[in-house]
Amino acid sequence: MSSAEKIKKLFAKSGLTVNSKIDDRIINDAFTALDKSEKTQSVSPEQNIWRIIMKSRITKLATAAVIIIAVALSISFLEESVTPAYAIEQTIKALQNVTTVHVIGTDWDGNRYEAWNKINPKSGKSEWVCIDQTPHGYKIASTPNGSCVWDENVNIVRYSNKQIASNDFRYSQVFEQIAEKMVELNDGEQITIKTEKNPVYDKQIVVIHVVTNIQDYRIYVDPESKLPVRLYFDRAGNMKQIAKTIDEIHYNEPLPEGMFDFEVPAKWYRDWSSLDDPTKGLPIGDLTHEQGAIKMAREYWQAVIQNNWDYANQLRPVADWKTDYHRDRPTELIDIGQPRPERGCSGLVTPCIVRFADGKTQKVELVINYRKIAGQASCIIVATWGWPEILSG
Amino acid sequence: MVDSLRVNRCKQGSRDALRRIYEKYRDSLLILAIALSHDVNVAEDAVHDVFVAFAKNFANFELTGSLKAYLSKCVANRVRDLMRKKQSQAFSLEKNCSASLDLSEPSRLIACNEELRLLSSALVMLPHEQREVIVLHIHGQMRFRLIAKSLGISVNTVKGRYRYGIRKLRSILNSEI
Repeated sequence: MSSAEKIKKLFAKSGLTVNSKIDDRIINDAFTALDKSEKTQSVSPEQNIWRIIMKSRITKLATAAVIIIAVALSISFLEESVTPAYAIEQTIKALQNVTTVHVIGTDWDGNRYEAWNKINPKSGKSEWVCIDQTPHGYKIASTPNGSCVWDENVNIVRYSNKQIASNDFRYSQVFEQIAEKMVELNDGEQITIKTEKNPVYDKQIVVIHVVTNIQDYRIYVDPESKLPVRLYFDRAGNMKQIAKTIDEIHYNEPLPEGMFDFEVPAKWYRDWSSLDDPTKGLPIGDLTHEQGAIKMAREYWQAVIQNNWDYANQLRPVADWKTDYHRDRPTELIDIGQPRPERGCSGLVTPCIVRFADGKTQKVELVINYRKIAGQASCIIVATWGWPEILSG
Repeated sequence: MVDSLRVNRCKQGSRDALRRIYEKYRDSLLILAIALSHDVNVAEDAVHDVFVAFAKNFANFELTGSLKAYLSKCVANRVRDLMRKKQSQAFSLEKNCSASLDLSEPSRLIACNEELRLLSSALVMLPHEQREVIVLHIHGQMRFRLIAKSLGISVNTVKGRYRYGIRKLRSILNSEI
């Protein structure tokens, strides 16, 4: 063994144990320095994909495709030693050329859905989104100037002067976030990548199979374009609220004409809703956001249980809750958990344990925003956080 | 890639990202500093100062290569500065070393294993210039060209220092192992 190798071996075997006092000293001083340092401006830090997923039960499907694509590619980044073709730079570059994404897939109920995303080339943001989820009776179109929800269940077209599907993310930023997230949650993950001849595409396709404690999914990537072409979940884990499959992904195709015309079909009603409407929501006086969220959750469920739909609608003006609860009636509010912030969520996620008429107990998590209009503090329910979780029954 | 993402997060003020960078490189940087200084106190101060400076200057920081190499270079520079400040360097090193690296010492904050103590004891017998090149190249995984650039000397000088240093270490280690 050469001297250099001997030294290398000694270095490799060198180790030390460090008292936590040293860690505390260094980290605390570094944190202080970091806090004093000048921060760079980020575009909607912490508020990208997760907010999009959870902003609305409907809109999450629209963005699911894009997010899933992001997941797919981010995994390939981590496996760059196995497949150097999937270096993050290449993927980000490929996505920067994407102007529209059109996906067709199925949800966990087996229903088909279709979604379109149009990206603003200047900002890199997906600013125009349209989702057609016909089996559930919904179609939603969201633009920077306003949004529109067609609800076939009640023949109502709901307008909003806001972009209810928040799509203020840049593709590359999404990938960076998920790549980082994957790195930090990679305990027990198994990622295998192989190339196989795919009869559907009649060519070699890269298949990335990801198995974690809570997730199991496959992403099919075109090795030439570096873009995902299909996605399939066996187990979705905490992504269960998204799609089961994305069977088709089309990039850069023209969007159908009239998609964002906000037309009202014959014999349908027109309705306006706005999260900034001062007549909506619950005034909370001097309560904190957290206290207000708990109060709001209690009042909301009491209103629903007592069939006080007008009041429930005031507290939760934008959603599909009413038809849901007509089909499946809540009968008892069992508990309200501690409201908590979530990455990318605009409000506090407030868990509520509710018993329904069919005897099932479910955990429904409400997203409750805090706002101040003309100096008056109030809370408003803007969405649910994922699908309800059945606890018993 | 992961480091680059974390640096970006740090730029946005993420403490978590900074902590993760620290946790990832702490041991490696401390070993490097101990190998260079043969003094756990100097090593601790060097790593401390580098991380504080690192956190302070994120706004202007652009990661162009390996973060490990960058931090290693910073720690090496800081060790050099700290050691220059010590007037009776050789004496205090000997003294501090035997005390600080003693695993049986109850008040120690950094405990080195046998290999690190042996390595550090051997390296301290080299001139600092040779030690620096060997440590940065082998432990810091920096190329000769990068070391030369960071030290402001020619690549040939770096290679020469490395070669002479390794030759000396061979005889030192042969007598110790």
